[in-house]
Amino acid sequence: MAVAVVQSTAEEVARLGDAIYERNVRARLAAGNEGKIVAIDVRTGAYELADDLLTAGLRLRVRLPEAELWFVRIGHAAVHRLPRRTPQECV
Amino acid sequence: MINGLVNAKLEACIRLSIKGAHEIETVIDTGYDGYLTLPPATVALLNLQHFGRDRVALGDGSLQIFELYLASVVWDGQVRTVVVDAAETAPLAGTALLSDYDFSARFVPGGPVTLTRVPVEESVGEASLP
Repeated sequence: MAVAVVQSTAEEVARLGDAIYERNVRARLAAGNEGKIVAIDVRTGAYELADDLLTAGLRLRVRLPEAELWFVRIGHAAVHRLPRRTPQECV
Repeated sequence: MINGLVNAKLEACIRLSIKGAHEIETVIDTGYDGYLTLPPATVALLNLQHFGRDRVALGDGSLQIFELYLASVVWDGQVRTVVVDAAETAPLAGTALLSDYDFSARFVPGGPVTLTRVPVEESVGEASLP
Protein backbone atom coordinates (compact mmCIF):
# COMPACT_ATOMS: atom_id res chain seq x y z
CA MET A 1 0.00 0.00 0.00
CA ALA A 2 1.29 3.45 -0.87
CA VAL A 3 1.24 5.16 2.48
CA ALA A 4 3.56 8.11 1.96
CA VAL A 5 6.76 9.09 0.21
CA VAL A 6 8.85 6.08 1.13
CA GLN A 7 11.97 6.20 -0.97
CA SER A 8 13.97 3.24 0.26
CA THR A 9 12.83 -0.17 1.23
CA ALA A 10 12.48 -0.76 4.94
CA GLU A 11 14.91 -3.67 4.85
CA GLU A 12 17.55 -1.59 3.09
CA VAL A 13 17.25 1.23 5.62
CA ALA A 14 17.46 -1.27 8.48
CA ARG A 15 20.56 -2.89 6.99
CA LEU A 16 22.30 0.45 6.44
CA GLY A 17 21.23 1.82 9.80
CA ASP A 18 22.41 -1.22 11.74
CA ALA A 19 25.75 -1.13 9.91
CA ILE A 20 26.27 2.57 10.71
CA TYR A 21 25.36 1.94 14.35
CA GLU A 22 27.81 -0.93 14.67
CA ARG A 23 30.60 0.87 12.82
CA ASN A 24 30.33 4.48 14.04
CA VAL A 25 27.97 4.81 16.97
CA ARG A 26 28.12 1.90 19.38
CA ALA A 27 31.70 2.39 20.60
CA ARG A 28 31.16 6.12 21.15
CA LEU A 29 27.74 6.15 22.76
CA ALA A 30 26.70 2.79 24.11
CA ALA A 31 28.49 2.99 27.47
CA GLY A 32 26.28 4.72 30.01
CA ASN A 33 23.42 5.31 27.58
CA GLU A 34 21.60 1.99 27.76
CA GLY A 35 17.93 2.45 26.87
CA LYS A 36 18.39 5.78 25.12
CA ILE A 37 17.49 6.28 21.47
CA VAL A 38 19.84 6.97 18.57
CA ALA A 39 18.40 8.44 15.37
CA ILE A 40 20.63 7.68 12.39
CA ASP A 41 20.44 9.21 8.91
CA VAL A 42 21.33 6.26 6.70
CA ARG A 43 22.28 8.58 3.82
CA THR A 44 24.98 10.57 5.63
CA GLY A 45 25.74 8.56 8.77
CA ALA A 46 24.83 11.55 10.97
CA TYR A 47 23.15 10.69 14.25
CA GLU A 48 21.56 12.15 17.36
CA LEU A 49 21.15 10.70 20.85
CA ALA A 50 18.15 11.44 23.08
CA ASP A 51 16.03 9.91 25.81
CA ASP A 52 13.13 9.34 23.41
CA LEU A 53 12.55 8.62 19.74
CA LEU A 54 10.64 11.81 18.96
CA THR A 55 13.36 14.09 20.35
CA ALA A 56 16.21 12.22 18.66
CA GLY A 57 14.45 12.20 15.30
CA LEU A 58 13.36 15.83 15.38
CA ARG A 59 16.88 16.99 16.33
CA LEU A 60 18.34 15.17 13.36
CA ARG A 61 15.62 16.48 11.04
CA VAL A 62 16.45 20.05 12.08
CA ARG A 63 20.03 19.45 10.94
CA LEU A 64 19.11 17.32 7.93
CA PRO A 65 15.52 17.88 6.72
CA GLU A 66 15.81 15.12 4.11
CA ALA A 67 17.24 12.57 6.53
CA GLU A 68 16.22 8.94 6.05
CA LEU A 69 15.86 7.94 9.68
CA TRP A 70 16.57 4.63 11.36
CA PHE A 71 16.19 4.33 15.12
CA VAL A 72 18.06 2.12 17.58
CA ARG A 73 17.49 1.72 21.33
CA ILE A 74 20.94 1.27 22.84
CA GLY A 75 21.39 -2.18 24.33
CA HIS A 76 18.10 -3.51 22.96
CA ALA A 77 17.14 -5.46 19.84
CA ALA A 78 13.96 -3.41 19.42
CA VAL A 79 13.01 0.23 19.97
CA HIS A 80 9.48 -0.61 21.13
CA ARG A 81 7.52 -3.65 22.19
CA LEU A 82 4.05 -4.49 20.99
CA PRO A 83 3.36 -7.79 22.76
CA ARG A 84 -0.32 -7.82 21.95
CA ARG A 85 0.40 -8.35 18.27
CA THR A 86 1.84 -11.10 16.13
CA PRO A 87 3.48 -10.71 12.71
CA GLN A 88 0.28 -11.65 10.90
CA GLU A 89 -1.47 -8.69 12.49
CA CYS A 90 1.21 -6.11 11.69
CA VAL A 91 2.49 -4.50 8.53
CA MET B 1 -8.44 15.07 32.31
CA ILE B 2 -9.22 12.67 29.48
CA ASN B 3 -12.32 10.51 29.65
CA GLY B 4 -13.15 7.29 27.87
CA LEU B 5 -15.16 4.11 28.23
CA VAL B 6 -14.51 0.41 28.69
CA ASN B 7 -15.89 -1.50 25.70
CA ALA B 8 -17.72 -4.84 25.50
CA LYS B 9 -14.37 -6.67 25.22
CA LEU B 10 -13.30 -5.04 28.51
CA GLU B 11 -10.73 -2.83 26.78
CA ALA B 12 -10.15 0.70 28.07
CA CYS B 13 -10.79 3.06 25.17
CA ILE B 14 -10.22 6.75 24.60
CA ARG B 15 -11.12 8.85 21.58
CA LEU B 16 -8.34 10.97 20.11
CA SER B 17 -8.59 13.86 17.70
CA ILE B 18 -5.85 13.70 15.09
CA LYS B 19 -4.89 16.76 13.04
CA GLY B 20 -7.75 18.54 14.75
CA ALA B 21 -10.34 16.77 12.66
CA HIS B 22 -10.32 13.00 12.63
CA GLU B 23 -11.71 11.28 15.71
CA ILE B 24 -10.06 7.91 16.27
CA GLU B 25 -11.17 5.38 18.88
CA THR B 26 -8.06 3.87 20.49
CA VAL B 27 -7.53 1.01 22.91
CA ILE B 28 -5.14 1.69 25.80
CA ASP B 29 -2.45 -1.00 25.72
CA THR B 30 -0.01 -0.78 28.63
CA GLY B 31 2.13 -3.53 27.08
CA TYR B 32 2.89 -1.26 24.12
CA ASP B 33 5.55 1.31 24.99
CA GLY B 34 5.19 3.50 21.91
CA TYR B 35 2.76 6.39 21.48
CA LEU B 36 0.10 5.33 19.01
CA THR B 37 -0.53 2.72 16.35
CA LEU B 38 -2.74 3.40 13.34
CA PRO B 39 -3.59 1.14 10.39
CA PRO B 40 -1.74 2.03 7.16
CA ALA B 41 -5.05 2.93 5.51
CA THR B 42 -5.69 5.52 8.23
CA VAL B 43 -2.13 6.83 7.92
CA ALA B 44 -2.75 7.31 4.19
CA LEU B 45 -6.14 8.91 4.75
CA LEU B 46 -4.64 11.41 7.19
CA ASN B 47 -1.66 12.00 4.89
CA LEU B 48 0.72 11.77 7.85
CA GLN B 49 4.35 12.78 7.41
CA HIS B 50 6.76 9.84 7.17
CA PHE B 51 9.31 10.05 9.98
CA GLY B 52 11.49 6.96 9.74
CA ARG B 53 11.63 3.31 10.68
CA ASP B 54 12.43 1.21 13.68
CA ARG B 55 12.36 -2.37 14.88
CA VAL B 56 9.54 -3.53 17.15
CA ALA B 57 9.36 -6.68 19.30
CA LEU B 58 6.05 -8.50 18.81
CA GLY B 59 4.15 -10.88 21.04
CA ASP B 60 5.68 -14.04 19.63
CA GLY B 61 9.20 -12.73 20.26
CA SER B 62 9.83 -11.86 16.63
CA LEU B 63 11.20 -8.52 15.48
CA GLN B 64 9.57 -6.52 12.73
CA ILE B 65 10.43 -3.26 10.97
CA PHE B 66 7.76 -0.61 11.36
CA GLU B 67 7.12 2.55 9.37
CA LEU B 68 6.91 5.61 11.62
CA TYR B 69 4.89 8.76 11.02
CA LEU B 70 4.28 12.03 12.84
CA ALA B 71 0.81 13.11 13.90
CA SER B 72 -0.65 16.06 15.76
CA VAL B 73 -2.96 14.81 18.47
CA VAL B 74 -5.22 16.83 20.70
CA TRP B 75 -4.28 15.52 24.13
CA ASP B 76 -5.96 16.89 27.24
CA GLY B 77 -6.82 20.07 25.35
CA GLN B 78 -3.31 20.62 24.00
CA VAL B 79 -1.94 19.79 20.58
CA ARG B 80 1.09 17.53 20.84
CA THR B 81 3.21 15.77 18.26
CA VAL B 82 3.41 12.01 18.59
CA VAL B 83 5.05 9.17 16.69
CA VAL B 84 2.67 6.76 14.98
CA ASP B 85 3.61 3.13 14.36
CA ALA B 86 1.79 1.97 11.22
CA ALA B 87 0.32 -1.40 12.20
CA GLU B 88 -2.62 -3.37 10.86
CA THR B 89 -4.36 -3.53 14.23
CA ALA B 90 -7.04 -1.66 16.08
CA PRO B 91 -5.52 1.73 16.97
CA LEU B 92 -3.56 1.37 20.21
CA ALA B 93 -2.54 4.06 22.70
CA GLY B 94 0.74 3.14 24.39
CA THR B 95 2.58 4.15 27.51
CA ALA B 96 4.67 6.85 25.79
CA LEU B 97 1.39 8.64 25.14
CA LEU B 98 0.21 8.06 28.73
CA SER B 99 3.45 9.36 30.26
CA ASP B 100 2.86 11.65 33.27
CA TYR B 101 -0.79 10.60 33.62
CA ASP B 102 -2.68 8.57 36.18
CA PHE B 103 -4.83 5.91 34.49
CA SER B 104 -7.94 4.37 35.97
CA ALA B 105 -10.69 2.25 34.48
CA ARG B 106 -13.73 0.39 35.79
CA PHE B 107 -13.58 -2.87 33.88
CA VAL B 108 -17.24 -3.44 33.16
CA PRO B 109 -18.81 -2.73 29.75
CA GLY B 110 -19.47 1.00 29.62
CA GLY B 111 -17.30 1.63 32.68
CA PRO B 112 -15.50 4.97 32.94
CA VAL B 113 -11.87 5.44 31.90
CA THR B 114 -10.01 8.47 33.20
CA LEU B 115 -6.55 9.83 32.56
CA THR B 116 -5.43 12.60 34.90
CA ARG B 117 -2.22 14.54 34.64
CA VAL B 118 0.16 13.83 37.51
CA PRO B 119 0.86 17.02 39.50
CA VAL B 120 4.31 18.32 38.66
CA GLU B 121 5.64 17.88 42.19
CA GLU B 122 4.69 14.17 42.13
CA SER B 123 6.07 13.29 38.72
CA VAL B 124 9.19 11.16 38.85
CA GLY B 125 11.50 12.26 36.11
CA GLU B 126 15.12 13.06 35.59
CA ALA B 127 14.53 16.60 36.85
CA SER B 128 13.60 15.31 40.30
CA LEU B 129 16.53 12.95 40.63
CA PRO B 130 19.57 14.09 42.61
